[in-house]
Amino acid sequence: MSRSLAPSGYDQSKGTGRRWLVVSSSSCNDLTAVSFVLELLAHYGASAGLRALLNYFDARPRTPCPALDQVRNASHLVPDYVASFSFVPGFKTRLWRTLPPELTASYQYVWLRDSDVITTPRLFAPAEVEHWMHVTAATVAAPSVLPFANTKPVHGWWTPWRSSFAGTLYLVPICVHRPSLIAEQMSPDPMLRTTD
Amino acid sequence: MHAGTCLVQTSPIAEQMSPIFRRDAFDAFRRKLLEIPPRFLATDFGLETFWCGFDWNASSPDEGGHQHAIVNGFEWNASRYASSANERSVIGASVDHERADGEGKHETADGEGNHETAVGECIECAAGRRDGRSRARSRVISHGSSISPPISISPPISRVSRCILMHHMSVVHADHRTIKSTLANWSDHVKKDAPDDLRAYLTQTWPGAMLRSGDPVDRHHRLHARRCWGEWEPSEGQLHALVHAPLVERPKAGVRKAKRKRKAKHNVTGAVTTSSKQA
Repeated sequence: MSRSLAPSGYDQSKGTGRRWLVVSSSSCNDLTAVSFVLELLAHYGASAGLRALLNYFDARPRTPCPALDQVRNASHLVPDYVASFSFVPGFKTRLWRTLPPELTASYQYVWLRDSDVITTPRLFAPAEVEHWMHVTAATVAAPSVLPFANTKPVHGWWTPWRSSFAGTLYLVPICVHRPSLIAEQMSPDPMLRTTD
Repeated sequence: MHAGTCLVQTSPIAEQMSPIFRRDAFDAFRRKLLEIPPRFLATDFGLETFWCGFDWNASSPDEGGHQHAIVNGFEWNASRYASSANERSVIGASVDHERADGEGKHETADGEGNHETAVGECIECAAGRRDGRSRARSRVISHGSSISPPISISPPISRVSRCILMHHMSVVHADHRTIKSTLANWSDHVKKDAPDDLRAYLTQTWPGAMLRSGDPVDRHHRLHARRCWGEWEPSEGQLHALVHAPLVERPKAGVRKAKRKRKAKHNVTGAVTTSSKQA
């Protein structure tokens, strides 16, 4: 159960250098998104060779942009891990159109990430993604998406590709074992007696 | 533990929240994106299907004018697909029969009308194996003969994009943005009240791409999504998330309402109360 997310035998040195370009767009007032981005860069900037292109769609000349300022203040991360800032207004598809091959040429993967997505090394490993994209010859990969809090499903609705753990439309519902100190009287497993 | 649960699965859809592109695939996708009139780009609904099936090299419209995708050896006609659900189910049944035989050719159509067998398309998961990456065996079905290459042999690069969903790789969606900030992300150049239908445009312009990915309810879609690699075994972190995250689908509103009604009817004292409507 404690295996690493990185596949065994995978050459970790492959994860160094500039390999991932993360493209993210957010509002100037979205300071929560800034914290997510900084967390992302701190976790994967060095280990996975991840760089970010950060777009602020509502930035205007001579108008304060708190989110941009906050990222720039993270001086220990910005010079190394922020590829560039951009200020493309409009929907994110418009931003994606502005990413020319000259910009992406240095990278192996381009991640079009929403600004409200949190990544943690416990649940996400770029090396694992690279491995499976290679093995399956996939051109696009998507992680599953978990809800943040005990309040509601993501977006208030539930789709098969959003869940890692729940039984889904295409998967056999899974069962997960956990050691337990008690086994209630309702349905004791006879094997428990023999193992004791 | 849970035999047959896919670790990684081909998927006809990769939603817009966090797709990870191979760089060359992104460049190809971007070229397609540039062909789409800006008025359609006030939304991204439709792209989740499109980028799982577009042909990199084909020219628009309709990827070189080729309107017929070959699915498991059957010609898949775009117009027939769109016109009748009954016909769709007939085609689906045929495809399923072919798969059941285990001898079905699985071919993909390229933009020029030539069909090549994509070996990687036919890898199926071997149920009941612990370590999918190292021990999963692939079964390649090709023109009636079965061979078993090691999984380390990479499938040939196809010109048609393909999506995978990694069930063991997760991100957390904080969903903290407000409607106000979302609306602010709309440029003055796009129509805010009624954006043009991007999905309809994509289907009309590149039906091959949209059909290769499939519709969420059709038979081909389910077959496509069934291909899998490995078997899922959660890490400690994932187990932690499993324990602490509400990953159970909420009952429908009607069910909840009925439960409340039953609860109100049989209260603690056992007395049957009247509902508010009756009162």
